[in-house]
Amino acid sequence: MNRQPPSPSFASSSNNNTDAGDFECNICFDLAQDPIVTLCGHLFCWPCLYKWIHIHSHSHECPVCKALIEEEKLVPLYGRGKNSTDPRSKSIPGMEIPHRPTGQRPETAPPPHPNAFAHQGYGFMGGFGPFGGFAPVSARFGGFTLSAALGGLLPSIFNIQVNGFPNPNMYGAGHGFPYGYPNTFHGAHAQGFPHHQNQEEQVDSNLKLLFMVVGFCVLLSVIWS
Amino acid sequence: MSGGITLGRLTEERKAWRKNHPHGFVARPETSSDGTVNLMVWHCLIPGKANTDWEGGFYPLTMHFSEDYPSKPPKCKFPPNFFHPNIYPSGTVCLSILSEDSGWRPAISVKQVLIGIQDLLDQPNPSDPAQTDGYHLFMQQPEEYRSRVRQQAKQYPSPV
Repeated sequence: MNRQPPSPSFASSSNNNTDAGDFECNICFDLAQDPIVTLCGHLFCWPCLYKWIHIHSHSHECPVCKALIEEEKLVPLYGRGKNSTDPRSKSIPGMEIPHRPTGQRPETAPPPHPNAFAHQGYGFMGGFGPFGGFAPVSARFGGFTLSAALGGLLPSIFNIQVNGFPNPNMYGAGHGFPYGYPNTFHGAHAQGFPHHQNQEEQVDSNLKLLFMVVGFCVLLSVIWS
Repeated sequence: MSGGITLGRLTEERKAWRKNHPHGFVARPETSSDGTVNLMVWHCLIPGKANTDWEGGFYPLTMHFSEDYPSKPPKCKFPPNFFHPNIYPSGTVCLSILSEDSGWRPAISVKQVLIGIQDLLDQPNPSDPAQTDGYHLFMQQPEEYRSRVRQQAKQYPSPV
């Protein structure tokens, strides 16, 4: 007895005013059971609100502000505590209160995007698209003209790249274009740089093959002679 | 028999009132001679506002809660023949927030009702008369009306 000074009781009463008061049902004025919130932001026990909108309200209006209430747009509150309480624990004689409307769950948020990589990609693509075998455009990119000339050797790879761009002609004309088709750019970027390497590698291997054939011929001629 | 909501709400109203209520007001549930409390009927006192003709009076009001409370408003009654344009000869208060079809909302508390009635005392609503005596004097003989109000204030002195 002596160990309880007056202050705790004062504290608890003020707590009731401030903390619990935010979570009291606007109909029964008690801590909300099966709490549910209207779009206008007013909190109720689900049984209290159900009884109001189905028996007494003339036009499904909020018991606090008279805003229109649509049952399918009510938001249930799921706290962390036990959620196994019977929604009908606060029984109303002669009335079956159905279960609270369930929450509507938007899609899971997408994971964070690898932004820096994509940005570099845009810069590259300006060069790579034309490089895919459109001579009039690729002529502007001096560094790649040689590769473009050799591009004829690799039709299959170019096909893949061209497929990424629905309208290659349009692409060639639009300088500010890179931002227009972010998706294709992502795909193209991922493929684009490897393409460059593949082409050179294949040019190399073609040259090697050529040398081997030439060498083989030389060898044959040497043996023949 | 009454629904859990009604008695639960009235219990909370009682708690809230005991914790804090406006100065000069009284509101307590009816207690029968054997000591049992009837939460469905509250006996209240509404003080007349300072600096008005109603000042000095403590007007007794009874609130009757139905089993549909708080979906339906309480019926609030002054003594019969209470002098005021918007109070029926029976004593029943005619006020928008106490009308089920217009202003009542379940979120309105007992405190808000009592304060609303206190406001009504000094600010009658001429578009909604409920008694001839008070209404006609208010509209046609303002001086006589004020004298009647001051007279009535003396009939209901402070309870302490």
